[in-house]
Amino acid sequence: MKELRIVGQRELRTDALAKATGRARYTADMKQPGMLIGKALFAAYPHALIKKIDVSEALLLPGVATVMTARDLPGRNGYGVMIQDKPVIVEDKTHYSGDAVALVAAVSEEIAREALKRVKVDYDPLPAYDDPREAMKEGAIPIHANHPVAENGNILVTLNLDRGDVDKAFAEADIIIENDYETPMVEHCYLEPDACIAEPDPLTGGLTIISPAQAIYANRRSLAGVFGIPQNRLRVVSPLVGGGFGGKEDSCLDVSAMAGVLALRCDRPVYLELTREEVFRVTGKRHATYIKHRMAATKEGKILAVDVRTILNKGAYVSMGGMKEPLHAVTMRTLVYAAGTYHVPHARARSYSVFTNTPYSCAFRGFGVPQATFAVECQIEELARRVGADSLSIRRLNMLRHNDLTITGQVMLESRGLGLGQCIDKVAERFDWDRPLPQPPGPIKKGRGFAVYMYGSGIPLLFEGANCFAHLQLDGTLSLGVSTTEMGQGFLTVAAQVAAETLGIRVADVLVEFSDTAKTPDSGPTVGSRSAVMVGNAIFDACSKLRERMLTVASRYLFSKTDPRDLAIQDGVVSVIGKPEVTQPLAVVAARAYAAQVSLAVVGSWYPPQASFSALDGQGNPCHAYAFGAQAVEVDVDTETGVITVNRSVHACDVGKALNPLNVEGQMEGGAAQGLGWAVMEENIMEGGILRNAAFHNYMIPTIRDVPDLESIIVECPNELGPYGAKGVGEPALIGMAPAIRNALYDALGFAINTIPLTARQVLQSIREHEQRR
Amino acid sequence: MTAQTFYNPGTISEILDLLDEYKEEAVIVNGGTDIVEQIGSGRIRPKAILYIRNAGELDYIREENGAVLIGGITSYRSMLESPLCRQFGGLRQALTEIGSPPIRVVATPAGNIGTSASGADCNTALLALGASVVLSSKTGERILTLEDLFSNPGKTGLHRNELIRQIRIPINKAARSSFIKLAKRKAQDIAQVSACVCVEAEGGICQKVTVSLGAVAPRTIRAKSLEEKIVHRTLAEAVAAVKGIIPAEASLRNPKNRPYKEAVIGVIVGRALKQAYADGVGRT
Repeated sequence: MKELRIVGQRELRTDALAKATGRARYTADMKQPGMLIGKALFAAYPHALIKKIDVSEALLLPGVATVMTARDLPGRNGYGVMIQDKPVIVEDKTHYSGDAVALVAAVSEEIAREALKRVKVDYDPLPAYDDPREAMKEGAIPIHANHPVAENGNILVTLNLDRGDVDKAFAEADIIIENDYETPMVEHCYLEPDACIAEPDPLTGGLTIISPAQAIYANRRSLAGVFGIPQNRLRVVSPLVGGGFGGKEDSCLDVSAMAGVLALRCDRPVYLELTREEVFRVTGKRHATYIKHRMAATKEGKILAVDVRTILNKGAYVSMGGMKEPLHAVTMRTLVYAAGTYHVPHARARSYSVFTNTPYSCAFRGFGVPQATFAVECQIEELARRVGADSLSIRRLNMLRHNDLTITGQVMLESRGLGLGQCIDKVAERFDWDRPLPQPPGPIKKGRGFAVYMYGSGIPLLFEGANCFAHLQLDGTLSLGVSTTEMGQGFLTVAAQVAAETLGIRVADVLVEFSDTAKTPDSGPTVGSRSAVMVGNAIFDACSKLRERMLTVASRYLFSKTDPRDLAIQDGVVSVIGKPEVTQPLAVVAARAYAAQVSLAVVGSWYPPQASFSALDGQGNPCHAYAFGAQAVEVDVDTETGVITVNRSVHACDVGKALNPLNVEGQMEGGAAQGLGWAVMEENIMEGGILRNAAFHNYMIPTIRDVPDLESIIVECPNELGPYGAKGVGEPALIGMAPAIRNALYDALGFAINTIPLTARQVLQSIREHEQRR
Repeated sequence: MTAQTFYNPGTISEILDLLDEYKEEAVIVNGGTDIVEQIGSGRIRPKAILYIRNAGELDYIREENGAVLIGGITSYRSMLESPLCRQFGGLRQALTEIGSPPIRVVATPAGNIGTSASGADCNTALLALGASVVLSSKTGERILTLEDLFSNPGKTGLHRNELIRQIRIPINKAARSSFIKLAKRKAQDIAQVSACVCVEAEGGICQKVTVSLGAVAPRTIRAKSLEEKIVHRTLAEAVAAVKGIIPAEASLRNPKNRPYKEAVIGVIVGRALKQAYADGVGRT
């Protein structure tokens, strides 16, 4: 391969200046005077029958344009990323406290609020479920009377994975480790609250919705029916997004559905923004999980089998996927990753996704892999202790290698990048893992913990593949069009780098139009750590085609029929290889192509090898390539107060190829910090379907003082199918932190705690209980 | 915002006139970090908002008659930058724990005293340091110790026509103080428990001590029951004596956080004592 000049460089973000100076525009900046203000009345009871709604008093209030109940909707009263099970306005029953019971549009926010107070609703409250283990019991009240895809009562779906002879393996094992793990429901905590501008379009008879969204085409597909218009007349635009982390794949539907039906009813633009408390109340969360993990091994520490049961809190609605076909994306991953990064010949896994009356659980950085990996990486720590070996040697002993089969039966291939061993070695070296850690006198105990992970790029079987537009201009600049969202991950910059490298122009000469259905084709959603790989490949495809056309034109008309293979394009200049003095600007070539009736516009596309996965036995090839990583931490635990301090973090990630190392490090640091929050302090506390900490003063996320200097090591084991070898990095970066911290705490205290978050209160209580047991 | 009138008085006398006029229907906005949220959410609906931050004569820190005097609109940031304030170890530590640098630019100690927030870091420190407040109204002035103000708000608390004109911290060269806060994270958080101790010692024996605790009762409290276990003892004896003790003055009602708070009160009081000693208490 030729030497790379732009890909792999620490290119500064193309959007950095506008953002750093506060001039970049987000949805809320586009609110205009004269727009009606939309607001929702949310359910007073998370689980209740609605006996009567009276809006007459609210309608009388001057300044109120409309008050809507479920009877006033223009189309289908249901939406969702895959299954249309979430009502825009609930009609006869509430399923969680974020259900809208009535909507209002008014000339001001004050009037809209006042109008909501005048809506009278009679409820008949029912017991509310917070815990899926309760909701799945026989005799539990069904949360959905007639759910379109639920399997059985409150159980949305059960997925199975079966490989080999698990019972025999357990019977023959020297060591069996069995533990229960719990991980909490948590909030995405994106900085930008959800908002939407919905504007009827008199020209098309359709509607435009402008909202921070991670998946504009999924929005179009989900919402056109809600608005009662064809998909092509629903224009969906996502301006810059102030953080998403998976949440804005769904939450944009919530605000867009509400703003859209109000705008259509009033035939006026409507602006609807959730307050932060409403974001907590209404929008999706990370699935809480309850995992029973059994592991069988030889006395040398070779894993023979795993047997895993996972119960996921689905919350009130389906969100991602929903059943066996299409697959439930998060539930599926709890099976696929039930044995982590290890070669395990026998496996059985059962995952149950169960409805409760909490906010719906949705995509959240890692899609269920962090939960599954937490359990496995705690188990491997236990295994190492039982064997009496260092946990790294047990990890190396069991890790997936070339030609090994995963528990889904997928063959691991060196050619797709298998960097786990390198990640472990590099972290161990930088961390000085073999150095003994002396315990200081006094109440502070020190501990070190390790964890490894893998994560498949993309979201197989749901929305794979990508398209883009590329249009070369006559001045030699390039317009790209991708539906991918820019939510802080830096894709606009990486897209420009891939395009510039491939076509042979400067990054500054690429403009990336993004996430607008009127300007860009479907590049797939901006989720699943897929964009750099999938959309990157589509851009590579488009720019390769353009390059070929330009070289053909240059050869024929401007370089005396020199073989195009002997021509190069670099920095927007075409030249003969080996003769740098013979040049033509690309603009001249483009103009010549234009005159010669050669198209300057192309659609680039890329689809990975068809994924497979059977919901019956969990076998198949879910992802074409996997990122790998290793995370080590050192913690202090204050045994008198329970306070944990993470002092050091060394993290390596095999990303195939770092298209922009600055971006990769940003993702690695951000993921590690977010993972730290999940491990030690974050939790949505539910009581009877009511969220008790729905604000940033009582829902804690880490500040910079809670996070140590995060050391990041980039490992590059190229993926033959990725653009320039890339694999995804966005989500993997979060996964290792929680098990590493838990394992470090184990090291410090000498006993294990298997439930996160590891708050001071929880840690101190565990210490006391442990002391009493002794 | 639901208030009807917004006032921007520039002098103390204007403020006192307005307070006299509106009394309980007025709300003073100083830094606004507490109260604006309450007004915005509709939890309080004052008739008038008195934004006093432009009354420049209330913005000062100076020393007078053996005390540090702090004006009623002086910000935490000004205090943190003031050597006069930084001489009190416990106060200095508390100031660095308050909110974030941007919050400290607007938030004020008088404001936190006014709302009597139990977990307010500076309230805890000022109480242990024996601070008092000068309360002004149109009809006159009175001086109240924070201990009186916090211990019996119904009887001795702030009247609705009164302005916290000044905070006074007595200077005691023989004393050393120290503040410790436990929170759910390491910055920008309300205390789970906070403690400030102010000690005078001689020959390693504690001669006088004041202990204040934040977030263990509806208001900041002085824990005399702990002081009794510390006074006339060596540091080691005192630390051992307070360990695991739940002071009688604490009033923890929430069963969820009560066991944790009770478990750590003695620990952090002991640690604050050690810090104060390490800072030089009892040295000659």
